Amino acid sequence: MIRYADEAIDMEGLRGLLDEDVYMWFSRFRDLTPPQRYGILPIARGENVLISAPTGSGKTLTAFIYIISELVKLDKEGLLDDYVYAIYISPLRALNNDIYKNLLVPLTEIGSLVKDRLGRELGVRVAVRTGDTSQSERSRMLKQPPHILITTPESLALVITAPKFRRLLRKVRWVIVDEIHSLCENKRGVHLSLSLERLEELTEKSFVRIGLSATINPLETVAQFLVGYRDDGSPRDCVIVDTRFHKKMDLRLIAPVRDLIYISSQELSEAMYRYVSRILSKYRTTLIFTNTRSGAERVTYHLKRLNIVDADELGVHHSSLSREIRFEVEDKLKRGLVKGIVTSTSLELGIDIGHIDAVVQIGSPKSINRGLQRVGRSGHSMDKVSRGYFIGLDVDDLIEDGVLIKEASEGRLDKAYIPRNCLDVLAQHIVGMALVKKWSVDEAFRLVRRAYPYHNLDKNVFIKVLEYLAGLFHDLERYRVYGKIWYDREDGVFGRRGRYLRPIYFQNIGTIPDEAHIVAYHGRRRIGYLEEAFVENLDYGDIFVLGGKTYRFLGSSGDRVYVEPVTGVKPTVPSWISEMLPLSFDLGEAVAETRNLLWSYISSGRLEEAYSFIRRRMRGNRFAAENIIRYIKLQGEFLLKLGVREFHSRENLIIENYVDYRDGLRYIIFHTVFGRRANNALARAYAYVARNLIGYTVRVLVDDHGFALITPSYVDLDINELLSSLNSSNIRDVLSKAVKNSQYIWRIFRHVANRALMILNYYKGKKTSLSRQQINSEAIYAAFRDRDDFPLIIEAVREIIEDKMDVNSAERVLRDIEEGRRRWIVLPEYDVPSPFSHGLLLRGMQDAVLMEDRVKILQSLYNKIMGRVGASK
Amino acid sequence: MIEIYEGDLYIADPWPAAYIKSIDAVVLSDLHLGIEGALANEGIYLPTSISESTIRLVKRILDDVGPTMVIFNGDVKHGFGLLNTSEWIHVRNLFRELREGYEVLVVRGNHDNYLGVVLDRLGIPFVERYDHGPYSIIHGHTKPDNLGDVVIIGHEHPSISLRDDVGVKYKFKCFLWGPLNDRWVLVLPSVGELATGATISIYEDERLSPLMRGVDISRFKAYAVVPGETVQEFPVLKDFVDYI
Repeated sequence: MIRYADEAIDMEGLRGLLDEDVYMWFSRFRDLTPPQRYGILPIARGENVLISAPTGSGKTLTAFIYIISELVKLDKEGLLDDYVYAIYISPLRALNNDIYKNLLVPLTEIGSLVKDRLGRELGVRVAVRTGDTSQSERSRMLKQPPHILITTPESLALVITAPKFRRLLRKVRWVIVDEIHSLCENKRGVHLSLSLERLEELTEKSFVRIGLSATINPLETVAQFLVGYRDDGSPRDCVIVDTRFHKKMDLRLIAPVRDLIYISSQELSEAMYRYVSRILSKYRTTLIFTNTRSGAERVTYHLKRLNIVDADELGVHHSSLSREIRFEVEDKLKRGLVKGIVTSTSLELGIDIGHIDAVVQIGSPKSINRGLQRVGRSGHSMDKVSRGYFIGLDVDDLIEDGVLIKEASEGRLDKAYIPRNCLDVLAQHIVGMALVKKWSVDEAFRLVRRAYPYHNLDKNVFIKVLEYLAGLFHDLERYRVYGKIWYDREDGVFGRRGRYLRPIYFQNIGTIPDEAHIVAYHGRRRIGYLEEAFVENLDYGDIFVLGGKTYRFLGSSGDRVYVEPVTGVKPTVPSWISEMLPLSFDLGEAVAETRNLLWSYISSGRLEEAYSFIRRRMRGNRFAAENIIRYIKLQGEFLLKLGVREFHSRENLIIENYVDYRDGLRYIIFHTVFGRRANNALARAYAYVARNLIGYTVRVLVDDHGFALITPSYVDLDINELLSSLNSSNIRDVLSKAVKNSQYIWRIFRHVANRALMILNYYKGKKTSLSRQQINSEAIYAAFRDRDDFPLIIEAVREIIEDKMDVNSAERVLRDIEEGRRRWIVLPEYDVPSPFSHGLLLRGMQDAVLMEDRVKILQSLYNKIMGRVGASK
Repeated sequence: MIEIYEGDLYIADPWPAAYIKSIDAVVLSDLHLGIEGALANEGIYLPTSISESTIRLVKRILDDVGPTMVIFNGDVKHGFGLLNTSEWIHVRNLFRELREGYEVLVVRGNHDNYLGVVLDRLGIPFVERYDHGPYSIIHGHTKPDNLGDVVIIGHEHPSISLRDDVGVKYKFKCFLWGPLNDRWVLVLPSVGELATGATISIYEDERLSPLMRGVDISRFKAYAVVPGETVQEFPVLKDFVDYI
């Protein structure tokens, strides 16, 4: 059962729970913080606990203090053996090092208390084990194991498989999972959930699970993710300590200029930097978030150039920087030597970064939770106020930010999404399990179903994964090249096979895909690296920014692209889209509702009400209010001109039919503020249907606020027929077909094949050439594409439609339409796009649903070229 | 059949193969049989049905054209090392069968080490180049002297990428035909399924064959192939370079 903690303790109550020296050490704190008041008691009672609290609320100590106390007691009694008793897992190596230092301090101080009183040395040991840990440190750990092991999810999977280390884990009593909010929404978390069940298998007794999380919602789901299920299928118990809203927040929305639309980008950025500099000078230390790494670089560059703060007092921190540079910046921050620090996502998580007074967010953070998490980095300690300034650089951003502020102050949060039944992660773990012992299928299946993401796994699917691993999907298996395990169908048992299996597993553990980097060349000169997904979207002649300079794309081949430098031309493609965060569905819905509310004020002449709504509820400055009102008014007038009296809202979904005669393209624009994940699902499903109706490739353009289908302008597509061809019962099927027919799946399939150990990133100690893998992405996928029951194809499609996209929300939207809760409103054909479409047309992400009939497409390409050649002669 | 030279050299439409009328021969390149085994050695595990479907394609081509002679223009086999037993089987079975119905000749490619042993046993000639009349048939990984007027090579695995009206790219294997100094050159597409190779580009760095390096291919013609369905002739590349 999941329940909320309701029993608080005070200092006196704590004294009864802790060893006396540990309590003595702790009593330096005058009082308990909220998570400590509610969290320590259930841990002491041996209950699983999920603690959700903002940074700086003492949640790490909440998790550790009782554990330290128990280890000190054992040590005093002479019962502390050479085993690991507690494991702390965090997604970040940097955080691990922090925690290590933060544990050494209390242990040393408690040690000297013990020494003073009892005259003996304290023998509680702590050690970090990650991918960075050297061979010699690792062997030292085997001889003298740490009592508290600090590690990452990947290294955990490794130690529970390594024969010697496994033995040291028999007595594990506590497992702490930190930053669980950043793990549970992706495959790393799914991977961890199986590791924990495998750990259960080798400990003598079931261990206590302690989850630590920043703002996340709903806590019940995350708690269940943390603890999983019992063998009989019933949910394990967990106590939730919810202290999320105990910190005061002061949030502001800023438009840097009066009119964000008619302004040059130079004027806009100057105005923005004026605001940023004002904030920088007001506070001792300010943390500035941008949404991309390149954005962080750009902002730092400009702040230095404008000489607003001393260049030494300004730092930049993001994951593409080397470890040394990041450490240096973190260190400076801790010592209070920087005034401002610019980051993308790398400082979002709980690395201890010292004292921050204010947070600036440039552009929209795209989710309420993330916005709060970022702002929560300031005012470090419970009684301080967290200050957040949200600067919008276009009106869509501004509205998103303002709605985020409004929703957050009303206590609303986004819902977490946990991926389920990931077959690639499962396959990897089965290999790990097989390395350890021989399993009966039932026993292994029972273990897997204890993990939250696999609780509903179908046994037949599980067996398909075993068959894949046993090489039964490979026709040449008689040569025993492909199988990683042996699997006896009759007896229902499986086990390891092959002497290379152990090194293969150890070298390829984990879930983070190894992206192929493509080298950009100007002639023979190397310019820099691009990510493959970016290159896939480039067209001949496109202009983009790389390393602060602009280039024209000339062509690509294998793992190379050719470019030429250009000057004085604006980029035609945004510098990098895939790293951009998608808008959450819930925030999107709130945006739609707020826009409609503002229009109802504006259209009925109550401008003052609209103005004060933005000023008070969205905490906007004057410019913010003016910009938002102007933008919504323009859109409303556009609709009225086309004879439409309804406005965009949750219920009214407007479709534009815009024809660009110059480029010969028709854009069918769906205004759906569902976020990119759900929009992607709808866009590709409709594109697939549209392609079948018109018999031509359909390109799609997707962003958080809507999507567009692009066809040649001469094609006449019946929009009503299109709309009636897709519904909540066929979208999943249509989308699967669409996805199997897109170029996108080539890359995702390769990632899946990497995780499932079909395509190894490392083999026999060598890194497999990614460019080689890259060249083969398409062909590799083609070799399997018709095998609908192949687990890795099933997984690639699932990952795309459920994780990368959001087919569930798309399905819900279509059901709403069928049941009359929402409706489409189709505008007449028009040769100008509406104001609300501009963002999509400028910055949308592109893909296409391809033609399957190769002969037909070849013929039409030939006709197109002959038309051109004929015309020019 | 699409004629390309003097009423004698043809593209065996709709196949990725050339046909020489005067000797009644089909010329095929780059089967790369057993590529799955070579990839498995690098930790990439693919189904072997790839090689099997390549072999089926070869048989369909020969059944359809019905020549007297079959010339394999290199890289019949993929993998540089010693063949392991499994990989032999495809190669041996194919040649054993073909030698019953056709006069077979294999020109050596860069991947064909150790192939000679199998071919020897089957009595199939294995040569560095095959010259007949105006033709020099070579694989293309080297640049030999004394070439004929028409050089037929493989090795490049050319394919062409084209954009449709909404800007989406489609990629097809293709033949390339054009002038090479005072000669002509025909570049054959690969017959192997997995060997998609690089897209033709006007950049010389990308050329695999020393014969093609430094050659301006903007005056070459491309013939795109959908195997078994069609071959489509395109104008010279320079006329539509911005569509590639």
